[in-house]
Amino acid sequence: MKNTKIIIAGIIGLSLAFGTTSCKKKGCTDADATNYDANAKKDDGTCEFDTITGHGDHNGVHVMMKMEHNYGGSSVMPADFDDLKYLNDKGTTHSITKLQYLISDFVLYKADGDSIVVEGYNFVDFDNTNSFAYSFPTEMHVPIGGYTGVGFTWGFDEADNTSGTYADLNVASWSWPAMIGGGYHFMKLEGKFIDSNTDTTAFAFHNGTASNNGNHEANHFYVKLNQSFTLSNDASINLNMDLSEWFKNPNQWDLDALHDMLMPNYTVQKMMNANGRSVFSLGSIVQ
Amino acid sequence: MNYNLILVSLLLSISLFNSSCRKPKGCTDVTALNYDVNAEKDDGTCEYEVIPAPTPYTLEAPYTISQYLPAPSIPNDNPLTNEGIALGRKLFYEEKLSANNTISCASCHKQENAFTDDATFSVGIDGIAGNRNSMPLMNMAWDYGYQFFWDGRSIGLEGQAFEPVTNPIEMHNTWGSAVSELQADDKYPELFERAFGTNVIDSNLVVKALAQFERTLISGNSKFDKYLKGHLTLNPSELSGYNIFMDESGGDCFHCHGDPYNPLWTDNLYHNNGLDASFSDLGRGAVTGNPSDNGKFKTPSLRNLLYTAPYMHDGRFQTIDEVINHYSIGLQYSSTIDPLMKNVSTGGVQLNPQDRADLKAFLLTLTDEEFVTDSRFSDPD
Ligand code: HEC
Ligand code: HEC
Repeated sequence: MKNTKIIIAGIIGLSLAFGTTSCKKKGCTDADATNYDANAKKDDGTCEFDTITGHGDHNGVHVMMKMEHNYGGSSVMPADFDDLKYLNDKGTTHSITKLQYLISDFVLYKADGDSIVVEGYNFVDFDNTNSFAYSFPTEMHVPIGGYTGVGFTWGFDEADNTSGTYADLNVASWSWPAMIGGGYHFMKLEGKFIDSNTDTTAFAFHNGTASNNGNHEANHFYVKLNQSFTLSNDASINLNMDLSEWFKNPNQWDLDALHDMLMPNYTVQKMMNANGRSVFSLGSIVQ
Repeated sequence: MNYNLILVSLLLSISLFNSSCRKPKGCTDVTALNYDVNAEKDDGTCEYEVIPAPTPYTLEAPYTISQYLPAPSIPNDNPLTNEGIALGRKLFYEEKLSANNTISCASCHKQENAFTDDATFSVGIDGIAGNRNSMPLMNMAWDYGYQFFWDGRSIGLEGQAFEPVTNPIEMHNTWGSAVSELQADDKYPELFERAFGTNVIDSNLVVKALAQFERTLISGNSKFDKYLKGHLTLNPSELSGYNIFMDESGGDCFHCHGDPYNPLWTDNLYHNNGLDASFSDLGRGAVTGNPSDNGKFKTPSLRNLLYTAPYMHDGRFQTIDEVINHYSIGLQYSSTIDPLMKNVSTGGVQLNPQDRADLKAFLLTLTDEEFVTDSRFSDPD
């Protein structure tokens, strides 16, 4: 990534460490400092400010990402599952019975060219609608001011996509088999469709590492959604996933041909990667 | 005026008056260590055995489980203690919990069967069988969904344990009579005192103790666990079976039944795995009232299959081969069948005989012999 990367999460971790080791009476007494010490009575001149809030504005806000889902514009909620009511670009009628996906490392792009990266992941699961909301760490103060966009990683990048690392994902049976590259699933989208013989057939549209005869290729991508906005208050930023796009652009999906055993199919995994890029858009920003 | 003096003399006169009384004095409380049968008046000297507070116990998770899974979920109001677990173990084997003192939990959950039984439908005290196959009990502290039974109708292990005692085709008892039998026993009141600080038994404490014991039923030392630890190797057939299990274009079992990083070997969720075209038992659907849950049952763990036959919620398959044939060629279509069940029109994943044999060899590497012989889990009496 080209922009300055300021990993706020890292700085918070550090400041907590300072906080606990610092002397009980003396320390940094400025609440906006990264190493603010609530126990300190006397300022000892050690206050540190991260480069952004250090520019003079210490009043950061709290930010939450909210996932919303639609199919070509009409809202998709868990109650919409199981009905054969969606018509994809190819004209195939289908249902959705399961949707889970993983996004990570959120980025807020500042108007001044800096960017703020929150390292972490959100495992979105339609069986648990609480997972639609992803709060940045509460200690994290996002600077107010002008922004040019929001970004995140679809799935995990190579550094994060390491097998067995995340206990909550392990127990959710989210691992991607080692023989096709390991790491984790990025998405499980499942449902039924009416096939060309008018039979009801199942599809399992699972995305993750692309593997070609033992050569494994990372299959995440970066999403950057450009839109100017100003943060002046605690904010909830809505991200929209249009599910119809998975079957549309640039690869019109033929469920009759491609409905199962998609995980070990390199070409198909790359097609999903290509289609995924137009799936997200930025929704309203509520402050 | 010297009030102090008056007070002292007053006290003096009271004690003088008392000691002049002829009634024999001593400790009059029968539960005290120095109870004095001859004493008619208590003199405040009773001494009681001090029951020590129960000793906290920490679950020891085996390597694969501790390495990859979140911490076990144990309710705050029922922390594990040595005394609670010991009591739960005794209760698990206690026939007094049933109306006619003939069966215990262990009658249908036998250690040699990985805590299930070998009957298709377990038989209760009146000789009547239910309509579900008993379930193996293991690694339940890691069942984060907290829902138990084939249809998940009970919340929490404590909640589950209320059920069998009063179930008319199981122990067919009332909690009132179960509890009074335990209360009248010469050992239980003290064991409850040690575990929970009271010798007044009630059903809440009984299920708490049972749940504590059940949380210690941990299976994590199978051949496959040892392979993951690097302590041994698998033979070519087992390795090939493992690949079939993990391959979406092979058996594709891992999506529901776990993988090396989900060593519970179940997702603890509900699926319709294509057993029937129509349902005599609605399973999850009867609990949620949602027709799209009809025919769904909780995925069982694949650990210890060697001991847990027959298989499925209704015990319809006697052997692992029958199960593999089901997934291979026996799938039945119904509207709620899981999308992960492939090629339903031709009956399934179509494994050839070699693949089936290998898959079975792999499944058997999940056998944990220690679990079915561990003396900490056996009948304490
Ligand atoms: C008559 C046989 C019988 C007896 C006695 C019995 N069970 Fe069960 N147990 C079953 C059956 C059958 C099921 C599955 C029933 C269902 O799903 O409706 C079951 C299920 C369970 C489960 C659910 C496991 C899971 O993974 O969801 C637990 C826990 C359990 N029993 C514990 C106990 C305890 C504790 C006792 C004693 C208080 C007990 N059982 C007595 C037959 C029995
Ligand atoms: C869609 C999820 C799913 C998939 C995929 C799946 N299973 Fe199952 N499995 C289940 C469920 C649910 C049950 C219990 C069904 C019932 O009793 O109604 C079950 C039951 C079993 C049992 C019986 C265990 C017992 O204690 O009764 C075995 C063995 C088994 N499966 C093996 C396999 C194998 C081998 C594969 C791959 C070929 C596989 N399963 C694929 C969901 C699945």
